[in-house]
Amino acid sequence: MSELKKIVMIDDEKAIQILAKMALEKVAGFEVTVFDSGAQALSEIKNVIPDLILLDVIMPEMEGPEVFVELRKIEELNKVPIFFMTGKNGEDEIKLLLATGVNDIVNKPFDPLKLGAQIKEKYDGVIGDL
Amino acid sequence: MASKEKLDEELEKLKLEYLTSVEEKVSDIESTILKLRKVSQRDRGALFREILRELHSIKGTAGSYGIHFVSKVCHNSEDFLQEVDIENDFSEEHESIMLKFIDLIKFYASNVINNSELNESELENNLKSIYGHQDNKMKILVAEPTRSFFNIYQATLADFDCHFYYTANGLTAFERILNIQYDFAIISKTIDTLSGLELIGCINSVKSRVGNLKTILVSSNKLNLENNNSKPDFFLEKNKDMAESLMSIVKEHK
Repeated sequence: MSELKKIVMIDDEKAIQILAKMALEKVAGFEVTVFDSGAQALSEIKNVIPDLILLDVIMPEMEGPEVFVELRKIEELNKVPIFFMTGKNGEDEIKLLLATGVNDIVNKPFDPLKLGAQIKEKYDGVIGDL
Repeated sequence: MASKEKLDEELEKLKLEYLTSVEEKVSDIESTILKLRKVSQRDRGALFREILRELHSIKGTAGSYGIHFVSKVCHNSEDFLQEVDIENDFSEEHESIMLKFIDLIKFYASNVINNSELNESELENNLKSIYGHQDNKMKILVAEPTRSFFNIYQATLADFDCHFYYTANGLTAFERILNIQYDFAIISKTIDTLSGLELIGCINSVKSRVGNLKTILVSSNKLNLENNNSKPDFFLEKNKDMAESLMSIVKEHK
């Protein structure tokens, strides 16, 4: 089973980038690379190849589901789990997001002191199923 | 990994930095709100979506920083924007309500940044007084697949002193009914996610939580709803007498 070490986060909101990076690096001890947009991630992610991708749903230009489709076309990322991060927490909205084929959902707002543990638990569940 | 004290200190610092950026963000939203009544209907739609997107973003981010009051104000203002017909009808009163939400966020942010004392219950009361709680007007929720019938009901009941709220979604209607004290819910038989009958079934199953809400089911055909869990308080058939029947229901049972 692959251990979770490297995480790529794709989110256009600076304040969320800063908080999540702090939560995942300083609280949980992961190594985090942040991309501001889907376009930037798609052009640079091959230099990173993470164990997990956290992808914001609502972003300008390319929204999360669109970026997800493009990420899944990259062979090197075939087995890398992708979790959407979203503030849309309605049952129907979650169902729609899961229907895209994404591996799991992380809700916003999140507790920075618990985010790392929450993500690790979801990651272990997904990797166990692969 | 960092110690708990160091993390708390760092989180507090980040929170203050974020609140400073919130002050700037809401000032930008304020400028956009002030444009809404001056632009064409089409441009208003685009600006409206921009405002909603910004408020939604602040709501989520503020929540993650533990700034729950700002999150709540954004949530309420989002709800307000969803309930008024911004593209067709954004009045001076609507503008004033939106600006009050913005002022409250600015007031909160500035006080926290300057380490001033904040009275939480006063803040909550200020928030409640902005919209929907400031008068004793009747509140009518309309759950209809299109706005055309919503407009008809509004026009029909124009002589009654009431606030109207619109949704095309049955689940959204149920969520609002659980959170807001409406006087009447006018429900079409054919709405999305929960049909009109399913929605009334849900309302009937939580009758003790919805106060004096009265349900009015609207359909093109007569329905036999006796001994049915989804029986509405009133039934309105879409025919030539519809407007008169609606007025008499509201007049007699308000």
